[in-house]
Amino acid sequence: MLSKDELARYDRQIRIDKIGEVGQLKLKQSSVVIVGAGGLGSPISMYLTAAGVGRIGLVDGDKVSITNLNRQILYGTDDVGKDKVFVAKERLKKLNPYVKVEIYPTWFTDIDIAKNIFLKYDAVIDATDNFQTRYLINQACVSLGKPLFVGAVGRFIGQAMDVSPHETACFNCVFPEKEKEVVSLMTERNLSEGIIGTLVGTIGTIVASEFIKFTLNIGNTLFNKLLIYDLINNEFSIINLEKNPKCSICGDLNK
Amino acid sequence: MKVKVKLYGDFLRQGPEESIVELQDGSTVEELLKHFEISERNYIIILVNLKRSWFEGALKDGDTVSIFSPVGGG
Repeated sequence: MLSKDELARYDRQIRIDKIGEVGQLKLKQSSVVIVGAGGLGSPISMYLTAAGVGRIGLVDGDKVSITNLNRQILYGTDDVGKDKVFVAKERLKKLNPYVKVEIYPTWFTDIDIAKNIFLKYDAVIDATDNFQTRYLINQACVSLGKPLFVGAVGRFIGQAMDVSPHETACFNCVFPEKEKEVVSLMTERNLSEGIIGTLVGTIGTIVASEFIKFTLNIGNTLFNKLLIYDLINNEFSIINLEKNPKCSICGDLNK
Repeated sequence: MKVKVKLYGDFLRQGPEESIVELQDGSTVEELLKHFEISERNYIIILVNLKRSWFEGALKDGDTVSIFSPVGGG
């Protein structure tokens, strides 16, 4: 049930025929864990909190640094040096006290840490900043059968995709994992490319919208699709993907 | 024939952000990649006129080819 105060709070979205009170209740009953409370994690967690998702997990072992502030809008200048997830929780609770925010100040150093957290949620959002963790999250989601929503950026390019394990292409089907050294080098190069805040804003809100549409079972989603956004040229492209039967993570041999 | 080529991400190391390349008629994406000395065949996504294309895809005069690497930041 939604209280009088909740009905008022969510009035503008309840008015949308495809959402309504029924949809709002679905959002309230849903849960998601967001890995990465940075550039992507900021808008994703804020919009999902404002929209009334019932329970949101937030994973990040990092502290706020001054170089985060051009894009990580969860944090202010006074937060530099503090643990990200603790600051984020306070901010999100202020935004919407009806949402339960659960925080995990940890790094995903092995897959069991990820799996133990993911088990408690309906779905997972990959908002991390490195390829190593992206492959680990994908593998954990495939092994648990958890839907995964992926956002990623570099320079002026953003990408987003959704994964329904064993049904649609997983992250590893699209970009098969290479040797450790190559993956580290890719992350390093990606970091050195830089990021503009408005790009994580755009991609983050796309990823948050994907979770909302998935939960409400409305519209078209990015399962078996990769969205590529080129900010500098204003070009959005969506390409079709296919599950790779030989994928080392979700292929038929690994069921 | 001439095609417009846009390079993104890692592939900016192989050439300018945007360029016009002259190729023999009937050339494919594969030949264009060779022109830029791009050897990567896994971590690469190619769009021709914003639609996905594969290495054997034929190019025609006036096409715009966008060559992306995966991005991983956040």
